[in-house]
Amino acid sequence: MRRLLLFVSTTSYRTDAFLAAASELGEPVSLVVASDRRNALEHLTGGSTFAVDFEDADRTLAAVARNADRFGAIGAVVSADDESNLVAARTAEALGLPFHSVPSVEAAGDKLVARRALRDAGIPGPKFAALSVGDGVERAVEQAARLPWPRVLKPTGLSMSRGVLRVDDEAAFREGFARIGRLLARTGGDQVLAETYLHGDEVAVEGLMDHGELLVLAVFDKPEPLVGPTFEETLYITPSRHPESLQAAVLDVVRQGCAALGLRHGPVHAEVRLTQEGPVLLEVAARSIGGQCSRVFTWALGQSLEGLIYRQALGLPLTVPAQLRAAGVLMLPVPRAGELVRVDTAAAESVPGVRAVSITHPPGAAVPLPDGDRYLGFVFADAGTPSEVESILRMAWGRIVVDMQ
Amino acid sequence: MRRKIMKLLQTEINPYVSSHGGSIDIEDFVDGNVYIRMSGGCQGCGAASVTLKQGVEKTLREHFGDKIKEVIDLTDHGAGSDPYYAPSK
Repeated sequence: MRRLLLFVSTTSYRTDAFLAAASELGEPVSLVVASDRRNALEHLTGGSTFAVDFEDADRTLAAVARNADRFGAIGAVVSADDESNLVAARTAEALGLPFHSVPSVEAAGDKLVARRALRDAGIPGPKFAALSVGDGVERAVEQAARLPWPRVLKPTGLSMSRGVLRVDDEAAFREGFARIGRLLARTGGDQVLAETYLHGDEVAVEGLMDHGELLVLAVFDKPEPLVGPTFEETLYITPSRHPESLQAAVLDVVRQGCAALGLRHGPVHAEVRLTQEGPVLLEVAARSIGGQCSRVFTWALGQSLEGLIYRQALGLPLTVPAQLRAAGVLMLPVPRAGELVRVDTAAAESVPGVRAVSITHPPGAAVPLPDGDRYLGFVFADAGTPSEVESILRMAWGRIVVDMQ
Repeated sequence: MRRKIMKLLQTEINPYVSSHGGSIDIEDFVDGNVYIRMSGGCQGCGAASVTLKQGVEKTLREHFGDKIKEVIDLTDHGAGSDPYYAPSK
């Protein structure tokens, strides 16, 4: 039986989907799960579930080797999240299994390193400056002085738009820099990237790099304007309604970006701004789409994204339809920080075309967005056209009642 | 069969998940399918599916072999107010 080693954060939204996908492959696959915290039943799993330190690849490799005596040789490595990417890359390298290379995962996981690599490869991007919270705001103002307004401030090591702020003048810059400093005091890290803000629509590209070739799974439009001051993701709709020539140009910059970072084998998720000068790669991550958004592929592709990721890792044939069914997801934004009393989704669930509503915060939970690391929930829909999907999701959104105090 | 599964959950599973403030109980056993419900720290826990698939299902199969087809989780994880590991992005 093939053995697949899945690295997944204990708190990942993706765990359920990755576990379910293992039993839907149509091939006998034994799943070995490595997480960053110990499972209560670890001792009953026969070594197929164990805790590792995502920050310590050497200890992780030792734990994999130790447990391999019990579960046998690993045939494929998959990582579910940013947090586990690097240890997964190190493990795959040590086991001689295909995966993104270690340097490419390191580069993609750091916005500053990635920005420099893209610039050095001649790929168009925003002007930028590297800042340090530890150096203080006066030094940051000085270092970013040559960048025109508006600007965007980003913690270099966080993903999912966490801490990303648009600042339109020096007062906002100072305030934003302090806010990111407070965020990094909680999450760790010191570096901040200041970039020129790029006007234009945004799209996301989901794909699998297969031995250096990009297999495009979906191009998502983001019809809700992402103009700041924060950049919470909301609507993702596929297939894209942008002209095919523009989509082709988008895919070109994604391919160039993957090549520049060295991403060659495994899932990729890219964000691209459609500026007047053409598509600009904001970033490309060495992972698949986050949150519960991957569920949209069940309707768009008729199969799970996690299943495709497994199939690729195991070297099984991949069959992806040329034409996607129109589908989309709404990442439900939090109206304000506070304590969640309840979310009433009944009216939203009754909107024709809504396939699922998933609320991820229990009543009573403190909701600290937009700097937090959780969505309020997800709404999924499919329909005959992307425009219909957007209408359905907007209608559902309007019918969701969020009660907070 | 349902009583045997209940006993196994009480003796082999719950003493350990209780260390995370959780509990797993059988709701039904029909045609080889085991319907369970998680509560306490298990309800809404980011690791609940790992606990279920890698721990509970494996243990039930070891004890009861082919009599166990599937373990089906009936838990409303969205309503879990005190998960041991709260899911995040």
